[in-house]
Amino acid sequence: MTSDEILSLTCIQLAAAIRERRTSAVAAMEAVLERARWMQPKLNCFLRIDEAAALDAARFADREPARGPLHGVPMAHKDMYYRRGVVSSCGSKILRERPAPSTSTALERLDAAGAIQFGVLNMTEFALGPTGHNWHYGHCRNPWNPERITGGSSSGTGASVAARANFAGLGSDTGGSIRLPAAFCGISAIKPTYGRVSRAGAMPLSFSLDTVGPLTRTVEDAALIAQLIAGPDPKDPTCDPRAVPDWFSQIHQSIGGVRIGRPRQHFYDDCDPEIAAAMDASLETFRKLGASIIDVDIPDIGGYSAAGGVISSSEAAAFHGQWLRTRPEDYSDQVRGRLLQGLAIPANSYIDSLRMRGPALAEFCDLVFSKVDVLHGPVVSIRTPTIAETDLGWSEHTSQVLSRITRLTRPGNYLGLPTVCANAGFTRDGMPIGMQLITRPFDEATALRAGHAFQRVTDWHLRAPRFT
Amino acid sequence: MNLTLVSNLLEDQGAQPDPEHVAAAASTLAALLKTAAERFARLPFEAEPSGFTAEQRSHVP
Repeated sequence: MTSDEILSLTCIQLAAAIRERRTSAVAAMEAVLERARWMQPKLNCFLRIDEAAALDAARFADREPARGPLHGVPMAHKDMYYRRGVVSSCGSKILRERPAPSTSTALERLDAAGAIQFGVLNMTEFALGPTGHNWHYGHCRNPWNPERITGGSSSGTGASVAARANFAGLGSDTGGSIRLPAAFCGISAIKPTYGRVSRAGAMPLSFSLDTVGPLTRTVEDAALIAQLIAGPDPKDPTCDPRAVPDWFSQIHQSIGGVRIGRPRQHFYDDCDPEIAAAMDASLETFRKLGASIIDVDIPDIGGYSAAGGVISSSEAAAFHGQWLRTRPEDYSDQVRGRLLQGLAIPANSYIDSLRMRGPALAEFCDLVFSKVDVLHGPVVSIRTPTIAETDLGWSEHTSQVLSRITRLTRPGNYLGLPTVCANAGFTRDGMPIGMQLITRPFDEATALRAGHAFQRVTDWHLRAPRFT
Repeated sequence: MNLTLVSNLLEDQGAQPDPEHVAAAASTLAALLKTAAERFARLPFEAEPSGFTAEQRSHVP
């Protein structure tokens, strides 16, 4: 196989090709390393590429029997998944020399499945921001238009996977940080149910809201990787103790009879017409696949966003309190400003925000998931902002700009709902349009099945940005 | 929120915020807390944070 042929494969296809000796782990690693080196000056998606170690690991993989379903597949991850003794900068200046204290459960499970990590990816400083900007290591750029944002905070994961400089990678999502880069970069992803994937060994931002998940080229890859990393973990007491159903084998089942909801409120408020048209077209695709499309009322998600904001600001300020006092100059202005506001939140407001989560989830499930199996809508209702218009210090204006980006993602973190993202088309100026498929808690299977069914009959996910 | 109150709260905790950060925090938090307060007012007396996990698990397919 040529390098271009290798780079066009999904994780599942590449693992099969290596297993069947149609290519090798070394050939795959050499191809992705060459692509990553070429892409880095254009997109700035990598914070470190571990070339020699990755090639050694690939040579070893070619000599040993297949370890698991990702045997020999190169992957790079957001630089906040720890490997004991190795620096994880978390996109920050503060941690850029600190060896990580432990290895993350998600990485251990990917290692066991045979994946080979070849680098770490750019991200928003401490995962705090939805644009993908990083003022310490340089902003990451969108492969579809380098003047536009990637979305964040998993910026490097979104950009590298879209640019075919990575086969898949881990992101994290506290207010939209998996779904936004997936949408803005035109790839697939899953934000699992809160508690489904262990957070052990991943940088904390807001322990009540943080979720771990993969960004991939296809929903099928997302299903496989999520399946591999999900499940109980004694190192993370918030991780759900139940075994994970076999999502991957269920993904090929028909979606005939599945009820897909089109929200009557909020999702289409001030929505860009091209984005709304792409959503309508995707619903028509689901209808042809046998799903029924139902208009559905949803509760006021503004209250969920506000309560989620109170929780994330309070918890992040607690993690960062010491450094805010002793090393304030080592934060970028926007991140320091966002963290500081958490120090002024009254304790009762934080606790009320947590107390409200149960009733809010009950309300949402009663109103929405008693009528439909999947809630469908855009990930963002605005066009992809430029880097220039979002390259801002912290101010009231910045807060409003960022809120417009996270308006449709933050409620999902507050409710802890699983969400699958897939590209549903492009604007006339060539930017991807992301769709989200939201299901009831722990029903990742239905969201994955719907996303995969969509990709079996459409080709949006196969399109890749072109570079000269 | 009152600017002086926010500034004092941050300074009392050892932070030294820029005036622009204080102003942004005051306006952003005022909006967040006002929006959330309308929902908090409807909370059942007995609601506890652990209710979320219980509610989540009641929806397992």
